[in-house]
Amino acid sequence: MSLEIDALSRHFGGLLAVDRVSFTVSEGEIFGLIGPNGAGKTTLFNLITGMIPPSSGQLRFRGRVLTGLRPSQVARAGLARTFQNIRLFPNLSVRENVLVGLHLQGKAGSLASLLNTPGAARSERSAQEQADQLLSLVGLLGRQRDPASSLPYGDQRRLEIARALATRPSVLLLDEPAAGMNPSEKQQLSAFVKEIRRRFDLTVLLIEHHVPLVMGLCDRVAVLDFGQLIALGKPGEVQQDPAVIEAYLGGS
Amino acid sequence: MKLERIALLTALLALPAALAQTVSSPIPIGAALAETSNVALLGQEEVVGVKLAQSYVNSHGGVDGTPIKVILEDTGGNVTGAINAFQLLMNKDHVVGIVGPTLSQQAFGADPIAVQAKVPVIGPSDTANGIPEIGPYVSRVSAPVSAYAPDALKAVLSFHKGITRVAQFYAENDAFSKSEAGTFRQAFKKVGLNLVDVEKTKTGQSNFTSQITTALAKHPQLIEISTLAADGANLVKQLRQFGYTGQIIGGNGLNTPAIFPVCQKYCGGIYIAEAYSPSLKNAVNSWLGQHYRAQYHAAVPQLTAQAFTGVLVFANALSRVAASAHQKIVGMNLAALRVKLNQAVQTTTNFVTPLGAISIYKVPNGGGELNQKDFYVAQIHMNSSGKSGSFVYVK
Amino acid sequence: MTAGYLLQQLANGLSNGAVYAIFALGYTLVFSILDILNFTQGAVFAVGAYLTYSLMTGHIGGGQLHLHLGLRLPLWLAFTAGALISGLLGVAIEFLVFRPLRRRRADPLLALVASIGLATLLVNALQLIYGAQNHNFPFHALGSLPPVVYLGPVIVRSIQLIILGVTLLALAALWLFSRSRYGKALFAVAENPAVASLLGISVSRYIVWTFFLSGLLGGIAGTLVGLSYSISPYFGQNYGLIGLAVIVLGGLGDIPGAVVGGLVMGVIEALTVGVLDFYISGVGSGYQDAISFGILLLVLLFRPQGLLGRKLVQRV
Repeated sequence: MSLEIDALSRHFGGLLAVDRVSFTVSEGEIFGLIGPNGAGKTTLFNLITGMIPPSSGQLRFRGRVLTGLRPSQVARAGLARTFQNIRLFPNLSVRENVLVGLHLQGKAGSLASLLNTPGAARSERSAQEQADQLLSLVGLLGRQRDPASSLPYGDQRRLEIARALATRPSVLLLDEPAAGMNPSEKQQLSAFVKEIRRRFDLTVLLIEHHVPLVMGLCDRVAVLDFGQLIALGKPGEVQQDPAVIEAYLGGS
Repeated sequence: MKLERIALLTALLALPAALAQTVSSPIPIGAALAETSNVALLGQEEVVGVKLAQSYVNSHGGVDGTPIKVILEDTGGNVTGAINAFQLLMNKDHVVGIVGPTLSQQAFGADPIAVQAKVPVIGPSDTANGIPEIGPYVSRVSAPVSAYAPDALKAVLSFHKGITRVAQFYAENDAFSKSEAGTFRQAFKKVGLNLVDVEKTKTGQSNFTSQITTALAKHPQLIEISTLAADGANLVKQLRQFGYTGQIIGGNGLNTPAIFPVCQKYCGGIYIAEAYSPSLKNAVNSWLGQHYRAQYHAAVPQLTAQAFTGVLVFANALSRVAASAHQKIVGMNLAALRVKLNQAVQTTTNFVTPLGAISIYKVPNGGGELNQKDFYVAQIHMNSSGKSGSFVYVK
Repeated sequence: MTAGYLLQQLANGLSNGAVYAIFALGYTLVFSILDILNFTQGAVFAVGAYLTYSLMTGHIGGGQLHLHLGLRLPLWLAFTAGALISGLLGVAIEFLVFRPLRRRRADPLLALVASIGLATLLVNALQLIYGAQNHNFPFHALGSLPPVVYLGPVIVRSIQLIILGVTLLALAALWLFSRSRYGKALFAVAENPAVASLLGISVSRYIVWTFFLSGLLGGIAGTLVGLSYSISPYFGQNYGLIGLAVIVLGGLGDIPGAVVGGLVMGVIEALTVGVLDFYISGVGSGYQDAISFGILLLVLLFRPQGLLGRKLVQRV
């Protein structure tokens, strides 16, 4: 039992964006979240990461209740995410973006780093090395000093993933990681997600529109429509579900 | 509904003013002085002056046996504050007259309010040109610089032969300093000095290095300073540190011991043109000197003496009003008394005060200007520790 | 006009600009992270100077209060303690004013007005305690250091060399800090607090640290200026205004920009006086503000991102 989403709801004024959604994501699973535009997928991600509080319901990770925690506390509990519209720190360099993610690993205090003690300097060097390892993993080695905003779109996505990985998460939430990628990049993405799951022992939760990617990558898929969970199961089963076909093809 | 209530309230508030107000006992004299803001440095000295004047008058029989009471309102450092203080004194405290405000700048803003309400005002330290011309209810006991600047300059030139080149520093955003600087420039011309440089400063400025570098490049032998006290003291300190060895003459702003802690040993040697000397011998000045020293362990500053004199002039004028009306002041119609008091203030003749014997005469289309006989030039002497010093009268 | 003369004016400008720089850094740190102008900076500046003064002379008061502390610290110790307490004052201001307002999602304008109110309160408290008169650090505060030193044809007041040195030191410390992960995290909070928070950064803790640093810098600047001239409750106000101009010149929230802006402002002021007044008395010093702020307007029109000119950050 890894991530338990228990009757989570969120309304904005009169609009129910997420309506009593419940499902459980197992350790090590790659779990897809699909549904038409406006189905509440990103809102669900925001609820899980603590960016907005739920109107009702509960979120547990490895038995610990996460509901009501601040985003930084949720991050320290082991959840990291990326955004559909990439949110890097555009004025920081590529490496600095990753270093910010490594912030949690620091041992020396901020005062020590202000005084540049030997311990702090050592810890800074090791942080730089870790950052470069992550950058090499996502294929951005050699661009460490460039401003993040100067990267092409696809590279920015990879940098955002590297930054999320820098926090050493147990659960990685990817919001439309393939958006804007060309077919060959999408192909590589699938392999890449499986590779990082293996290497970092991750549970992955991803929102994706690109059906072949979801089918080939995800162990299980949940389908949201108008904030409600309308289907849950293996990709092949869900694809045949009449409710899902109706949601995608019916009027909306 | 709401509007009606406001109208009613306004009417109620206006009622006491509309009713015939009479003078209460003790006789209230207003003092609108700067107790806060950076002008408080000067205002503090005046507050001491008006308080001492109250105890002097009351210990000498009051006004025909009735004690006076000085009511203080803080003007802060700006014009708005002065206007508010004036309005409180006139309409809430029902004073017979007002001593204040501290700065000429504030006088130009607030005095017209008193003129309109026909309340006599005596300026204790408003020395800019044109103060009595504000209106018929404005008088002052602070001599304008033009009355003594040329004499002071001549005295300095007689001590140091061969001075021809003079430079001037003045605070252009302070009405008094600006007017004083203008007076000094006329005096330079009169005594045949060559003005080689003028540098403008701002009130509250503390770094003068670039102005000093510019001025010293013109090799002045005498520098005249018209600024507020602390600013001028900082300027003197930096002038000396930058190697200026010539003479310095300070205007009214530097005429306070408050500059000692700022320029410390560098204050030594500055000449100050003075309208007051603590060593003047007469009964009232001795009383003031004794009582001031008992509390503050120092010589009386000029501003204290002038504010003291302001209250004294009111008390003296009130006695004359009472005498000529054969009636006690208390109980008189306030508005009528204020008019009579103003006339009496402006006919003050050879009245002995800490400033010496003074007269106040009415200027055409205006109020009362001061006629003062004694002026002084002091030189600052600092003791060896550089922490305290004194004004030594050289003329 | 000789080269020596121009060098002297340049030195005058740089030494004064160093104070502007260190003052503006305090403003810009808070602005970069909260988008709020913290007007208490000028008051913290004055409080810092009075703290050092009291710790050094063992004397509190002069206004409504006369107290003698049992101790007199040497200058460097009083300076350090004064600066640290000023930092804590900055933190107290965050907890008492800015945090409650943020919790209520108050308009940033309200925070600005609240900070002006608090600044007035602090300055008036100083006047109540110490009186309106000027206090001066003892002349021996700097030990046996001569009041001025001669560098070739240029005269520099020793205290101004110290100011320049301390400013550079503060900058170096900030630079080291900015290269550490904590510095990066601070920049991250400044650029996008929501995302920084998702990366496990406790945004509120970084805000507290920012206020501490900003108060610390304010206290340092106040003491340095106090040592250089004299202190009175209101002496932070002029710097408060110029500090605003400096951070606009340097680019709002831009940390190196605040330093460059401060130095540039100081030099512009000095050269305005030095060049114009040299030819026509009183023109440069009379229009000093008009010229400095005129240049500021031009910068705003043509380089709204400030002198160092990174592009305007768009916030998500």
